[in-house]
Amino acid sequence: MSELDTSKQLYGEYARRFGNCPRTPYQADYYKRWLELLNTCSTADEAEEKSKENGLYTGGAAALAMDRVFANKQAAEDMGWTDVAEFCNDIIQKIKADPFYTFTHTSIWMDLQAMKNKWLRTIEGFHKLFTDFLEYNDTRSDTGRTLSAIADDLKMLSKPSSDFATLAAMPSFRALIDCSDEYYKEFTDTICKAIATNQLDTIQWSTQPYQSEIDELWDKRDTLQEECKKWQSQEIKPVCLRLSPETEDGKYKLIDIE
Amino acid sequence: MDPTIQMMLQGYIDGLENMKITDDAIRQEVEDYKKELTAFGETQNDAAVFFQNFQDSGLMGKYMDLSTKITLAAQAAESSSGKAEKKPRATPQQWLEPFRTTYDYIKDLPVRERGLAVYRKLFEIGDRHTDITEFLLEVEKENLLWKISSEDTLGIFNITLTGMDPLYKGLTYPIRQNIKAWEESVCEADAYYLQDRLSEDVAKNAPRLLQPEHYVIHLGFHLMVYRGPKGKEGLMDLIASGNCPKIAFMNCASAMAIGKQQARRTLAIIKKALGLTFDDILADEFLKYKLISTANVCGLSRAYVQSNANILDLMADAVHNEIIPDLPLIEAIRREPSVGFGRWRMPEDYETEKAKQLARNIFGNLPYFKYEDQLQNGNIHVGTGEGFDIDPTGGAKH
Repeated sequence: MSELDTSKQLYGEYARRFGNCPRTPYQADYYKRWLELLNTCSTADEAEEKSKENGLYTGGAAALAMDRVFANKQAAEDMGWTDVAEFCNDIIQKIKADPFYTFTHTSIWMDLQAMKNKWLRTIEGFHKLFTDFLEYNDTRSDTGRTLSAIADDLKMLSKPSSDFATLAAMPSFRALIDCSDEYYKEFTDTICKAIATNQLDTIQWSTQPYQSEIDELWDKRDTLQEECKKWQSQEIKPVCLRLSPETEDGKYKLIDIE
Repeated sequence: MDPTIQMMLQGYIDGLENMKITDDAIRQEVEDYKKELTAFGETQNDAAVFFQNFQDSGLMGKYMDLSTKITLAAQAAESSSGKAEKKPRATPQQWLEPFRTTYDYIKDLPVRERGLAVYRKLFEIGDRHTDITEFLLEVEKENLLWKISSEDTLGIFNITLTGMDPLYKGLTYPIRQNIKAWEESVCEADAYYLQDRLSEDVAKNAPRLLQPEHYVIHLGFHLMVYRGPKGKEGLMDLIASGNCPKIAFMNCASAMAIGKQQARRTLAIIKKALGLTFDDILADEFLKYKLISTANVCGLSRAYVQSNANILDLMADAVHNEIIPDLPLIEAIRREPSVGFGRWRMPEDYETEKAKQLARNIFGNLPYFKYEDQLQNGNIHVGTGEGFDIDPTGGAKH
């Protein structure tokens, strides 16, 4: 097989693989154009010369860079991260105008990541707010720590909104929380109240409802001594090692540590 | 200026000055950059944090951009002046040289075996060809250049999974999703797309999978307060001793009273939020163990040391017969549980050490533990996959 025929096969393979992948339109087009060029030439050397004239020879790097950015743009569009998608689109236009744009402006990758991080941090912050609520709502006793944690976590919210109530009303944020609608409302109402008033309800835990029972216990403690001694004679089971199973549907295995 | 910082800055300036600058506009940019760099250096007085500040200031990125610009301009000037000579085409062996260097560097790391197998296949194809185009055609037909990255990464993630508790889905989720993404990807751009989708998916769902255990951990704590050594158990010990200081007695009785009220509230919250009863929690193989105190003793939660085995029976007995029916405290003391009285035991340090040894003996042959040092030493950078920093835990390590 001639070198030209092998090259046609090789570029045909590239065009096929990138053509089949929905993330690589620029490389697919680039290798398709190479294939078209090869089909007009009678030798590999001729194709190389022509490729230098029409820019194909050095165009691979730009095609690769545009596909990288395009993949980021597609992901951003699919996730509704509109500002990220617009930023990517802008970069693609700049690469079209200057094939070496991404190589001479390396900070765009950091800028891109910073934009993505705003969306991710908002999700993280919303999760943290729910954890704050769970910690607080269990006994509703340590409100100072909760208010401080809420204030920190609210700073993480920015995309698509920095407003907790706006986010909480969005189905995509509702889906972050695994609980009933009733409990979700309790969560969102609690956080909104904390934001508005910087206060949270508390529960004063007291032995008062059980005071008469405690007094009775104290008075009758001597009559309970024999029952309690029986308890003390019981064998104490050892602590154990718990081994996880091999699969998700398996069961733990307990081994006593003697 | 700090002399160390000055020396570092001079290194960057020399780097630029030693390059062949063919364009006047770029020469001016270099001069401007040098002034900017010197001004920045004057503001720095700690060499230890200089590099981080250099990066954060954007001057590091600017240095790289400027270097690329100079190189590209020099290449363009050379090409237009006809100086560029046609270079002889590389042979497959020459082309493979950088891959051999990488292979030699990682070949003794069994944790990389899946990636290494792809390298070997690449070399084997290289040995069969003298023509570079024919060689590349065969490599492309099997998409081997991409597989060096994907197989290497998949190998690491699959090994990591063997060190994890498969029931702990909040921890395994990022790894499993990573594996799915890398298995699906066929090229670099595809991986960029899938990694972005993955980062959002993991940010959303991994914490969601961890949420139910928060409620159950709270419940377990309240049950320990009610039933444990500072509650019911402590009270019974005091009464049995016949020597019963009132303050100690009242502390234990109060713990029973408060623990019971709080456990009742948490049970109600769990029912309202998750629709789960206490029996539902006990029926959940993973969740029920969140009721008791446990500590990971092996890998990424592959095994735990925990309270005595009958503790869940004791808890269930207390919940069903004392806490839910709000049994008067005196009756709770008198009542003989059908599961026996039992005691709450927390692991001592020596028992934790024993548990670690035992777990290691049992799981030591699993790939994660065989290669734990390699994974932890960070010898995991993948071959040609640019831009992907692989955390072998997929962000799962807490």
